[in-house]
Amino acid sequence: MGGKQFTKTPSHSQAALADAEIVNACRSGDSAAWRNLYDRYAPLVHRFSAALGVPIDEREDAAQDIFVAVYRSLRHFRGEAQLSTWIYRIAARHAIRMGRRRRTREMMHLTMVKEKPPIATDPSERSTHIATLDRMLAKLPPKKRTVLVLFEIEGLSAKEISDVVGCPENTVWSRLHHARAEMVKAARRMV
Amino acid sequence: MNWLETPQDDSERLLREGLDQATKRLGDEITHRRVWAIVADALEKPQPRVYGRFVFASAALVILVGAGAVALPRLLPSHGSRGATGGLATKTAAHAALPSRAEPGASGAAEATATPVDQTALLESERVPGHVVRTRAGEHARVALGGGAEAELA
Repeated sequence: MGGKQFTKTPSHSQAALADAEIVNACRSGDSAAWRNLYDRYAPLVHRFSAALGVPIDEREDAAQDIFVAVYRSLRHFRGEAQLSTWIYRIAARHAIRMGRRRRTREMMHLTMVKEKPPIATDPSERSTHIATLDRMLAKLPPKKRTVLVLFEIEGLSAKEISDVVGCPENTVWSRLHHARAEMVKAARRMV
Repeated sequence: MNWLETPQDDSERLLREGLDQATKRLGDEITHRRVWAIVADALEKPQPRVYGRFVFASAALVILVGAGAVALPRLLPSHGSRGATGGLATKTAAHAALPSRAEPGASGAAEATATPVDQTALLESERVPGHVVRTRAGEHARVALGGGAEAELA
């Protein structure tokens, strides 16, 4: 597991312990616990949504939808996986669904007016390499993209990724290998 | 060690820097507060109960019962027609198909087929459940049964 992820959140075991307490408190209707859960995972959801291609003007809506979905289905959370893994799973599903809708919308827009709709960009991201990275990530198929983002940006292990995406670890490694090769190829074309 | 930590060329360096910057894209405090305001609002509202399955099951049940109520009488003959009259008529029709002991000769057969129309009409009008249809020797009677079937009695 990469160390990047857990320098931003409490250490692995502490986080797990605190997560279990937070989940129990949330289930008993403690609103402070909900706030705690939100504060802990909102940055993660934001970063993950952004890396999965949710545009800046839709990220707030995406975060709302994801946290409301977490709230509504927390009673089904059995605690077998980590809370973060479970939230990643909800967020990934939501981002992929949003991407599908966005592509349909863009296609309809293209059919109607024959030009691409303007893409909103975050001013803070304009001068960085992130815009380039986003363009490269956008060329990856959703499954490969999700695996690459979870491994390289979110710092999850192959085991955790297999829990999030629901496929065997070997498949995770295979997708990661192909995604990396495609990213390097795309980067070489851009430079 | 991270992937591409020792980049071979500019493209790999670009990619690594992009990934490093992407890990810091955590959103700003104002955005998080704004989102929390909406999420907290949703938390205060009572969670919508999942009535969907119940409604779907009830609707399916009502439709099935309705369809059954409409289709069943059409599929099954009524009790009366299946009972006395129907049974009798079928049996009698089967008997009629066989050469009858009481059947007269060639001239008699010609006479029997010349059934008076009013006799047939009388029999049809008297057709009620449990009604026994009697024909005299050499007489034919046509009985209309439920479901559009007819029986020829001799």
